[in-house]
Amino acid sequence: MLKKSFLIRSVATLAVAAALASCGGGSNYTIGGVVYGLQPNSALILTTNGMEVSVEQKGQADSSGNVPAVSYSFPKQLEYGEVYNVLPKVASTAADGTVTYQQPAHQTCAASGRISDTAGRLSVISADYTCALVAPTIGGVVKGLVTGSVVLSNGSDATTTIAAAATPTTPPADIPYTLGAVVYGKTYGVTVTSSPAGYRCTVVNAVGTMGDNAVGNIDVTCVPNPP
Amino acid sequence: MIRSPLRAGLALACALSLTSCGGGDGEFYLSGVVYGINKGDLVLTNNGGSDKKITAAGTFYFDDLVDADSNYNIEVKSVPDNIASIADCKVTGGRGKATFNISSIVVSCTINTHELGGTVTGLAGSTSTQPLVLLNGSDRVEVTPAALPPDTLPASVSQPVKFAKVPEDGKYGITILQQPTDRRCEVANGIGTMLKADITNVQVTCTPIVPLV
Repeated sequence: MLKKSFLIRSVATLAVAAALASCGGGSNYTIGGVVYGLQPNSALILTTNGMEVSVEQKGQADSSGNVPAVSYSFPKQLEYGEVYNVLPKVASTAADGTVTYQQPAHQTCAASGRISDTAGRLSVISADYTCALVAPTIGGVVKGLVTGSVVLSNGSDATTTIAAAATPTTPPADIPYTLGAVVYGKTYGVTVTSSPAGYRCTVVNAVGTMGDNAVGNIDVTCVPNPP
Repeated sequence: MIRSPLRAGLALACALSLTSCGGGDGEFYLSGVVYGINKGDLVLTNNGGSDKKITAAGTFYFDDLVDADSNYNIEVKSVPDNIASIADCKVTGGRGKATFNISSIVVSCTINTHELGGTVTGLAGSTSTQPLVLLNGSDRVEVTPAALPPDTLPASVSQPVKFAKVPEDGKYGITILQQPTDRRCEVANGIGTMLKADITNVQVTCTPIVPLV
C-alpha cells in the first residue's frame, strides 16, 4: 500500500532536487519500516549506513497466534541521494565471504519491502521485514523394508508412504524419509498407519517438541511377523 | 503475454479433440484455484453447463473457451462425498464479463471434520506433578487425573479425553509425549483414518508403577 507510482514521484523528486541543489538546500529522509510476525519478547537488530536499531516486540500474541506489527526507524536521517541498505546485523562472515545474519530467537526474518534504495527517490521509505518461526523437518530412515510400503503419519498433520526398492538388496538398504515440517515449539508424534502385509513396523524416538534443528532420528524398523 | 503459450496449448488441445471442447470455440479461458479438497469429484459449471470435474486442489481450467464479452457465472454443481453440501464450497470471483482470459476464480471448500476421543482409565488419583500428555501430531492434550473416590481402584475409573477434530479421510495417530511419574500408560485404537463417523474408542490404559522395595 505504500508503493505508489514510483516513476511520477521520481521525476517530481528529481525536479525538486535540482531546484534545491541550486539554492543550496537539502532534504533529510528517515529510514524506517515495519517488522511483521516478530514473536513476543524477541528482537531483530537492523543496520544501515553505520546505524543500528533493535526492533523489539513488546506486544503479545492473540488467541490465533497473530502478533502485532512493529514499526521502527533509524536514529539519524539521511540526506538526499544517500544509498541505504537495511540488513540484519551480521553474525559472522565465512572465509568464502558468505555472510550469516543475526536472527531473533527461533525465527527467520526476510525482507518483505524495499530495503535498499536511494534516499529521496521514494516518497515513503518502508524497509519492511517479515519474521516466522523456524519449521525444521522431521524424519529418519526405514530399515528392513523389502516389500510393499509403510505409511507413516504425524498425527493428522502429515502422512507419507515409503515404498520398498523395486529390487531390494540383501540386507535391504535403509530408506531415508521426511514427514513434513514442524513449527518451533509444536509437538510431533509419529505412528505407523500401516505396515506391509506380513510385516510389523515400529518407530523409535517417535515423539518430541520441535526445537531449532531438524529431527532425523525417527527411525522405523520393519520385521516379518512370526509364523 | 506469459499466458499465450498456455492458450495456444488449450487451442491446440481443442483443435485435436473438438468433442472434448463441446461448443466452446470461444476466445478466452476460464481458470482459477481450488482449495480444501483432497479427493474428487468437485464439479463446477459455467452458466449451468460446461461441467468441469476436479479431483485435486490446485489450478483448474474449464475445457470450454468462452466468447469475448460473454458473461460467465461459475457455480458448484456437486462436491466430493467428504464435503457436506454445495454450500461448503464457496466461489469468489466467479461472475463477470470475459474481456480477457480469466484466472481469478477461487473455490474454497471445507472438508467435514469429526470428533476424535475416547477414555483414559487408571489415571484417577495420580499424584504425579508431571501430567500425562497425549499427542495427535501438533495437537497436544494434557490429561488431568480424575479424583479417586474412596474404596475404589484407579483401574475402575474412566475419564473422557478429546482431541481437536480431524478432517474426513485424514489420518490420525495418537502418541504419548509424557508419562506421569506414578503410572505407565498405553494407547489402544489410537491409529487410523477418519471416516464418516466420530472416533470415540481411543483407549488409554494406565497402570500403577509399583515402587521397588
